[in-house]
Amino acid sequence: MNTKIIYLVMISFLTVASITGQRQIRGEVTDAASGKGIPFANVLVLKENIGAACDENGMFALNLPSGTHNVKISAVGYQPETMLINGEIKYNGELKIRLKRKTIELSEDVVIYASEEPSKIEGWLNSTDDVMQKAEGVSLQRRGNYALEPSIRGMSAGQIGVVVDGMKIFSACVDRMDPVTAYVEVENLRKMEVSKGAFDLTQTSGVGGTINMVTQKANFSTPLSVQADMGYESVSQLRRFGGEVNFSNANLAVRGTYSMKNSSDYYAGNNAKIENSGFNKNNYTLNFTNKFNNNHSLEFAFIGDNAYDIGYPSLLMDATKALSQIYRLEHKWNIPFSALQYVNTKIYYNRIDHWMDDYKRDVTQRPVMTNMYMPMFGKTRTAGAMAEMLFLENAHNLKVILDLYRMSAFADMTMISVFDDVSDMYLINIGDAVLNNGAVTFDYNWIPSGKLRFRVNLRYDVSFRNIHNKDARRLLEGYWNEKIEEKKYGAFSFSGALEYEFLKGVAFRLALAQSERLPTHIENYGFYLYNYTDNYFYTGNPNLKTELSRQIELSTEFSSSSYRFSLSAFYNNVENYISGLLQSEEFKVFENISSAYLTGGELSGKIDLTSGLKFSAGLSYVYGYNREYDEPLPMIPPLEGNFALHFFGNGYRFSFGGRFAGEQNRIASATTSEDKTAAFIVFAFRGQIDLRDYAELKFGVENVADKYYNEHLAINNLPGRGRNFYAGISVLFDKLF
Amino acid sequence: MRQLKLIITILFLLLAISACSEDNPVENEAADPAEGLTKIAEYSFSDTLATLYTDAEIETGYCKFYLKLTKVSDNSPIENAAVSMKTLMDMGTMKHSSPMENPASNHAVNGLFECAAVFIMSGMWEVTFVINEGSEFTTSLDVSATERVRNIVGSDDKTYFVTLIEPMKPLVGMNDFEVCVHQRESMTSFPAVEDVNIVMTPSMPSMGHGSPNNENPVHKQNGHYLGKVNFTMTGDWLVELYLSRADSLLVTSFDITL
Ligand SMILES: [Cu+2]
Repeated sequence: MNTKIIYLVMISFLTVASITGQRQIRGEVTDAASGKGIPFANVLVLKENIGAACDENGMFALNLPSGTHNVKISAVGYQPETMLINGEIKYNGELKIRLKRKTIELSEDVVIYASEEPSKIEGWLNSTDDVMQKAEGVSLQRRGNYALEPSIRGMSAGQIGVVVDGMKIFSACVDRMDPVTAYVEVENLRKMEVSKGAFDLTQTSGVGGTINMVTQKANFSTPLSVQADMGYESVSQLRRFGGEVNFSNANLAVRGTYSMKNSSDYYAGNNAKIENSGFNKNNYTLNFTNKFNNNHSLEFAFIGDNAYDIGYPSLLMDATKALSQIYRLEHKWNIPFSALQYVNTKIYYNRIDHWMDDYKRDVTQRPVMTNMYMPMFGKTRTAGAMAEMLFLENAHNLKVILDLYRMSAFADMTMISVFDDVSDMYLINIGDAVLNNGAVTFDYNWIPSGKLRFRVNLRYDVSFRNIHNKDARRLLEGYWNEKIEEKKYGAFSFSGALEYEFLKGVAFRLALAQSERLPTHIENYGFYLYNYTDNYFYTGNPNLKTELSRQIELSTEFSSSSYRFSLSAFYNNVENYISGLLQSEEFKVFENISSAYLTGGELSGKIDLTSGLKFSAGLSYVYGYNREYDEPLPMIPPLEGNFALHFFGNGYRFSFGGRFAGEQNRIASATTSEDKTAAFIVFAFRGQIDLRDYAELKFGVENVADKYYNEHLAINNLPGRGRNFYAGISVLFDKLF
Repeated sequence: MRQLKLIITILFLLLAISACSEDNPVENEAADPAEGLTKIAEYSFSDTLATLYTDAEIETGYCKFYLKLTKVSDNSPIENAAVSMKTLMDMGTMKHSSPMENPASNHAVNGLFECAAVFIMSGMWEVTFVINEGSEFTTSLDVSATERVRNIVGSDDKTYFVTLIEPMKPLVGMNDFEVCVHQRESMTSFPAVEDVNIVMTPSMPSMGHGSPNNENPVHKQNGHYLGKVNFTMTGDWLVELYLSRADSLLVTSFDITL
């Protein structure tokens, strides 16, 4: 949610006096709303352990060694800002830093690439999946060794929102092979904003939470940088190669990346090979940012992601081809020292195509769809526009977000019998379902004092949807025995939060929300979609009502410069819970069948034991209950957690830790058929070493003990990966020569 | 604000482009009653021209005939006439007729006299049309074989014919389902059976599933039973029919491929 406007400020106002190897930087730290200096704000040069404090007028002076530095500016009651200052740029004037008052952060950032303290950056992780697991309360559904699907506090799919830079993207695969998180490689991820529950309504109106994948942008700090990466993972003989070029001058910055991964079948613990689990993928991105003057910039961003022959050992079939193109054009208009601080407007378009089949499987032996090959295709197209504006006035700030999009989806399957005398069968699973959605969100913050903060979100969504393919309409009308008219939804969601800092470093927060979740296009219009967890074919219900959730969250945080503990507890009551209702022997329909609740919490802590030694741990738990069927909700993660000891210093960083989960004996049997899952613990060692300033090595061992285990959210009990030795190197060529 | 307007304009253009949808063709209604029908024979008697049409292939099963009568002298349509038909198949050792339906009245419907026959086997059939009990003409039709007529012996030892009429061109989703049921009383008498109770179950044998919301055919008139059948995908369907009548039970089925 942090709107970083750093580089705009930086280029226009920076000052430097160049003295052999040292420059003095002078600057002023001001309140973004009032323009008044912030007394005694702190300016800290990260990695260098130098800093300065402002005087009573917010002025400071600092001697900075040559080179590029991350400088963090913080003040009590304000959101800290981190900015990149480059030695090559000649400044004339003062550095002016505008800090916004600290508001209630309803999302948690997992930072990959941003200019932050190195020990917080998770860029040494191997994949976007590893990054997701860093957020307490996020669990992953495993169907293969590729693109795990996130679940937040026991909710997934349509109950949560996964967006890329705020863009709505819809999976094309009806078997959930292609979660949106597949399209952003860790190299292209700047940070992941994870909001749990429906308290932050700025991205979607989901009842479960949102993951916003913020991509890496073109960088203005260096004229030219060229980087190459390569790596290997033993568990699946994964080979990866990638490169990145960033060019910039005063007005234009361009960043292009390419990465490819080839993976063979992976091994679970005890050297158990998992057949049909390899994949091949390549991903390329392009980002142009043009600054027209100090206050306007235009950004064009493209992500292309192509994957081939992706094995899904949990499922009946494998994906043969998955292509996606994601386009975004964004205009940012910053208006310093005014009530309207900025207007960001973007338009976007994305197309996702997905092909899968079971030609590599032995269809004669399987219990379902015996003697039948089922090639399937799916696609989605989404076009949208978003405008976000921030009004700031002393203790009040209001963000208004307009969010419009239109998506269309199609999916079909052919069933080809192994017997020649059986005609091919053909079925449209989603027949040009079109959703036209519009939403307006008001995100209001009131900060009456440095100790007390309020935040209120209001969101109203409207959605007009229908199905346009004639055959698919006949299928659904035949199934429901009624005419399908255009469906209109209106959904109103709101949340409120208050945060109080009793003492310095002791904060307490209460958040309440009521939100309405729109059904997905699959829940409305899907036809005969096979569900691998319960072996039923699901059919959509065009007349579904919205899911209504009422939730409360209590959290508290204790922090000092050397430790930070946080504890959250939530209760989420869901009415009109959308679930499969048994229709006939093999078939289910989506209905608002139940009332359900989820409750649980997360605990996390970090302690600096000595300088260069840190311990971190996290724990999360979810309890889900379906009142209608008097049984646990399905796909609820058990008690799970992680811990790690980190050693770090100048140019190196190591960690040794573990990830564990308790047994899950609370399983659903009426709404779906789950089985119990045993507890496990796996250990990992990770390291990262800088070689001079032009190369970086990363390496580690995951699942050190080669434990054979499966997580409760693994579909069809697919085991997790066995012992994995990995190593990677990245080289900065511009620094090398 | 100018930028904002520009962006909004671009957005609306974008949405407008992606909002294009397909057009529905408008169907014209035929003026000539025989338009769209296939002419199969033509005879003239004194001042009357009889033209015989059909609306489908001449095949075993339910076959509709349309007779158009025209006054030759002034080329005006004849709207009132007593029309009836007879069918005959000469198998050498024996001759037999078939179920048939004569016009409901002596008035033409839309200028046409509608008759129907159920060809219960393939081969050469002689079809005779009698007009006002004096004039008649006979045409020979080569009837090709289909699987649309079922000849079954009920548990009352009587021979029944169950003929599939609809769907002729099945589509996925809900289809009208129509069968007609006749009984063989003699080689020349095949009256309609109007009092059977029919239970219908469609299924895909290769998949082992059926479909929801089917409606069992119920009697409308002249031995015709109307219901609904739902085909949830293309492929081979088997529609099983259980016909019960007093103390007789008939079981038959039709293969329908989409
Ligand atoms: Cu798929």
